[in-house]
Amino acid sequence: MAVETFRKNMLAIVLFIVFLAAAAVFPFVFGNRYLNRVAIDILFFAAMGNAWNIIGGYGRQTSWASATFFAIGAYTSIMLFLHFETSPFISMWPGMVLAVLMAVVIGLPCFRLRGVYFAIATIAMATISRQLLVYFSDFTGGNLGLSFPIIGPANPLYGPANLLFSDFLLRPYYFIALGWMAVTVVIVWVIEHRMLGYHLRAICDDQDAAESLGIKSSVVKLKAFIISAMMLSFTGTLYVFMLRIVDPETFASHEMSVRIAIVAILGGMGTKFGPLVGALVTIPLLEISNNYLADLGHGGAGWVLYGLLIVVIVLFRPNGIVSLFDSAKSLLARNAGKGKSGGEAGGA
Amino acid sequence: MVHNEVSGEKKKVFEVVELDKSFAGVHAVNKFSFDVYEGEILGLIGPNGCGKSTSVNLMTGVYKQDSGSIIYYAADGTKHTLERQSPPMRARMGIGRTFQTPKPFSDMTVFDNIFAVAMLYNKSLKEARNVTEEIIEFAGFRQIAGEKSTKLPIEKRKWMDMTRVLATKPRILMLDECLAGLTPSEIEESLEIVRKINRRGITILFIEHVMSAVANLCERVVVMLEGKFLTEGIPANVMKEPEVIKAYLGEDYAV
Repeated sequence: MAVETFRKNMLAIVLFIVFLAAAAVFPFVFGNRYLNRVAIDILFFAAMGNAWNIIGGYGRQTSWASATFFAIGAYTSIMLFLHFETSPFISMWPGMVLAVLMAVVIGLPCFRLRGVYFAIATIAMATISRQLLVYFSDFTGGNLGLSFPIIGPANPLYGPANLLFSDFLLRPYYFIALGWMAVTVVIVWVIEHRMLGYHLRAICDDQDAAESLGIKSSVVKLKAFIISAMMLSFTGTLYVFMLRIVDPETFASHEMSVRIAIVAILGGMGTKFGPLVGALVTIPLLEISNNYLADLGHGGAGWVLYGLLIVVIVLFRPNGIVSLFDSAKSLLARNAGKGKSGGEAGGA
Repeated sequence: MVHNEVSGEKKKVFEVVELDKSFAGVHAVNKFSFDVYEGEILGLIGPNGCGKSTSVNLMTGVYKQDSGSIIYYAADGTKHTLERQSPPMRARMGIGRTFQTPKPFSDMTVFDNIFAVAMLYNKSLKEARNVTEEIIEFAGFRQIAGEKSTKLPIEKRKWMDMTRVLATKPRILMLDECLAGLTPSEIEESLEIVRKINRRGITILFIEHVMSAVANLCERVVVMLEGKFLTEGIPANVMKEPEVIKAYLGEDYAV
């Protein structure tokens, strides 16, 4: 069975390995800080899209609180570092614990209900969390946020133990992002082939049938939401050590949650590679539209373009961009079949 | 932990006592009592809207009863009073059911439909796979195991629903109108599957209003009318009773 699933996904696995190899070479080919910075964002957003996809795609429970979990990780880590010089390898754990608590607070009551309650609750929780970040400004720095002091190679805190590097091209962070993105793909892959993945799909297809067969839908959804929240919080920890600044607008805004969800929705909900493909398309597009169209004096034009793209893809490719690959594959298979039968006819 | 009452030779699986349920003024189930015995195929019959499906939904935990009690005896003889247990909890106790409309996990293959359930009831994935293979073999699904369940014709979807429950290792299987919309030959085949499931030692509660099918299949039937217990007995006798004829065909046909 393991061999069989491997063979079935052979093309996807090969493509993914080729992508990883190309991505590993990328920062050496283009020695460009800006390009690397955009590439890091693509990878981190792909990772967060994968996290969202577990509950939003496989579980079809739309979460609009991704940024909250991301911010929990980021704020926990930066605050522990500023006050106690805690390494991110340690502070990621309390961050994830807080994210799990938050997920349970939202999920426990909401997953007992059907319909839009969960989505609404995530929006409410995200709004509250952001207000709390501003309100407790003594700890969180309020709207301005918090930032690291400048820590150079001479400082004992500098180095891999605290994920603090001063490479101008950001290459260490690039590889952290690449590695974490690859790990998230593997996590999703494993979930897909384990009971959790099967049960998430079963519940999406028919919750009544699933429950009548012993599948506890609220427990399954809560598990998926907890895993998703932990992954987002961990991403927050990694991200803040690269950015070295945290503020509610960047980390805890609705726009951030939407961007994370859109990456997965456009790429392909409930697919392993959807979020990566989605991030590869939307993040550069956002960059281009924000930077270049803004230069033309059309500040809002980028967002219009972004919105248009979403509408076009949702209309014509409701299963996301990766469904193009499936269509292409079946088209190829059909043509191959035709070629064969045509050949036989010719022979006769 | 009271042990199973033995009535005659047969052990009870279910003891339903004065079950009562109303929906916004409609008295769907009205002080309904009946027993299900281990190993039997019991028919639960009655005209449309008489409360058969509601009774099943009460017994499986989809609805909570207003009053009355549902007592379930597990395979080891343990007595459970069912009231607040959720449908998945009851399924894990060995209470299996199917629905009037087939409910396949449409995104999955026939194999995965069964495998998804088997994973829950077996320790390892390997065991789950073996159980799935066994059920595929039992149901004669070898040919269609790899097909998406949405591509199946209606009768195969129904058979898949019926056999998928086997992955939960049920003690009792409640089949809610599993013959509706099938051709006579498909009905024949369905009844054969039900008998095969029963021969595995699984008690069957067969909810139906196709009378001929019930007469063929069941050793005993319970008749419901307007939410109430009407009568019970062997099918041939029950169907001669004037009250049953009246219930099904109306006043004019009463003997």
